[in-house]
Amino acid sequence: MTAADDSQKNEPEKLDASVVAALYVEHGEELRRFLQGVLRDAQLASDVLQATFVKMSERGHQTRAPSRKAWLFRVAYNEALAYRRREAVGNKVVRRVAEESKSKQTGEPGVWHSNGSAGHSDDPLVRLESVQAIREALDELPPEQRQLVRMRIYEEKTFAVIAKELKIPLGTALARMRAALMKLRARLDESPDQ
Amino acid sequence: MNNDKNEIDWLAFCYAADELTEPEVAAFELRLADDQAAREALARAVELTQVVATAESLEPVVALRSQSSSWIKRLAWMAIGSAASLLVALVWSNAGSWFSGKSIAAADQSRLAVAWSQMRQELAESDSDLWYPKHLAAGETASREEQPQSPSDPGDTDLLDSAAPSWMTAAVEGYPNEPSDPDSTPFDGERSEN
Repeated sequence: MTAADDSQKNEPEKLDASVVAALYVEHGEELRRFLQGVLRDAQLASDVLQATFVKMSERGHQTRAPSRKAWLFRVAYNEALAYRRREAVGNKVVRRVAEESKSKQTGEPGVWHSNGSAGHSDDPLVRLESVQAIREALDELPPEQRQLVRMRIYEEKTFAVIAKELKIPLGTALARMRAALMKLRARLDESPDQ
Repeated sequence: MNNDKNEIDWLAFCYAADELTEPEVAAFELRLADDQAAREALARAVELTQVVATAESLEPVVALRSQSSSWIKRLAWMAIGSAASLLVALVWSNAGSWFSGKSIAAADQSRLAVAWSQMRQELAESDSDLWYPKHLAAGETASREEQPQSPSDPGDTDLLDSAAPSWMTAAVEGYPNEPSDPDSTPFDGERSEN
């Protein structure tokens, strides 16, 4: 046995880079959205996503191919929770709150649902075909559902505030929103880029 | 199955929208640790929210554009109206001064005609005195009538009338459309006739 063989044996095994790249193409965007939902911060979501794929590269060889998607989500979630606990998250949240209050002053949409630029068409996560499909679906919604969707998602009012403003029971507001989301979801699933 | 999917989609949306109570959030996050369907539902909820926010954000831009274009149209019409009013006012004032200028010229012509006429009358009288001194006039009326008259006798009133220039007669007779020449003199007519 030569020294070269020894060094090859000691070198940690890694998942092939092309496999990692293929996993990123297939699941990267979905994972990013999931992380944004957990962290409410686009930049943090990107950081955690990167850390997740680094782990996949380092330990992915221990996983079986069919379970790699679930593995990625689980690792991403654990990483996200770890990030949340760190002080850095606190600082970022403070900064985000400051940005949110600033955006409220300037009348721009908030950041919880997007890349700090909700509603902007240059968001890489939002594809034009999807937006067009949703716009058509929004136009087809009954006016009361359309209004509720706009108030909740674009104006970022809580259901309680919406119910109060529209003078409807909270349950009615929730039911309308749920019905609207189901229709919008169905239309989004039909769009070509899904 | 479909109901389960709708249920988890709705729960994920409420989680992403901060519409869950603390116990509900804790329960959902516990579920996220193990349930791949819940993780994917959260990713879908974030995606749908982003697309809807983008679609909604395009609406005010369109409305704003149409609003601003209507304002521009209104301003354009106002500007056109103002310009037209100004033009009418200018034309009216110029027309007024033009008409008043014509009337002034006509009045000048009348005055000039009267002055010219008076002057010719005085000349005729003085010439008449030369030809027929007053001390002789009383007794020599008959002889005067027998005297041959000079063709250029300025005392001849017929000759006076025939010598009046056309501009003077026009002014005296009150033809307003006769072109007026403010620089003309009572003798211009005579010159032109000679």
